[in-house]
Amino acid sequence: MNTRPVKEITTIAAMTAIMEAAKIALSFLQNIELVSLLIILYTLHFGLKRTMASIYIFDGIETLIWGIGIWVISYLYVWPILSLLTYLLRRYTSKGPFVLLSTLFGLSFGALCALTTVVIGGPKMALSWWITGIPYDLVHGAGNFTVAFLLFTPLTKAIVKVKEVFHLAA
Amino acid sequence: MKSKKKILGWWIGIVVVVIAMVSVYLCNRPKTSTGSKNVELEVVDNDNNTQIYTIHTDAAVLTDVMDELASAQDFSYEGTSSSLGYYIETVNGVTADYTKDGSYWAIYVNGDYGQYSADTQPVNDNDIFKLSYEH
Repeated sequence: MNTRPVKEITTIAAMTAIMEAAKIALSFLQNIELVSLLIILYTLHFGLKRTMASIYIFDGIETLIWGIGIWVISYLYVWPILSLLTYLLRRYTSKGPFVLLSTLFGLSFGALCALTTVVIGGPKMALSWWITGIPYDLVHGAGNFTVAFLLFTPLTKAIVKVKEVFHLAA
Repeated sequence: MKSKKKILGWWIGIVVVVIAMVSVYLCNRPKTSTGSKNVELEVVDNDNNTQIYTIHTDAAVLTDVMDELASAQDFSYEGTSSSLGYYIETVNGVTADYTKDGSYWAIYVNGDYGQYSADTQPVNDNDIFKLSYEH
């Protein structure tokens, strides 16, 4: 019996569940999150396809929890962009480039989300929306830097261990 | 070595980006004036009923005005805070549920559609605000 599809589905489900649990666990701290780092690590260790599947299921769950809003559209491209950028940087083995990527992603999160408001209310509204959110983007950037700097190595070790135990390929 | 230099260059770039973001924010953030201000708040509900409140206030932002009105006059509101700002859900007992029927409470400032959430919308002397139930 081919157990590979079952393994794939279970892996993606577990990746998504960890992402959602991490999001909810830190939701009391505004703009401090583990999702960015998890997406980076998932892309590096589980591959782009599994990560993309996990991201879109995560977006679906978030919509079910919080309801439909403009942010839903943003989530459809913001997280995949992070995964794609990580994929492009995958040849790097040290944590430096990924801490940098995570920090830059946090700082530009508002600008990326503002692209949706360009369509809805025009460039003026998008610019005003982005400027209002700059303090939150700065917190997001600092948070992402701290989280990635402290947790990149331990979480990498944990993922490698999990992959060994469950014989998961990249 | 070359790669390390490249990474260092990127970090310097990030510092520049942060400085640029802080500068943009400080130059363009909502400006408030202090001191006594005469402010009007108009509420137009789902049945097009209009109620006008006037207040003499030192409030800096719209939610401050709304809080003062809620404690002094026949006005009430509820909402939620998020990273996107304060989202008004209920005014004078009328709830707008966007997820249910696309309705929401819009903010108008001196006749123009508001560019800020209620907790960052500056309050200036002789401002006329309108909270309008729309969908």
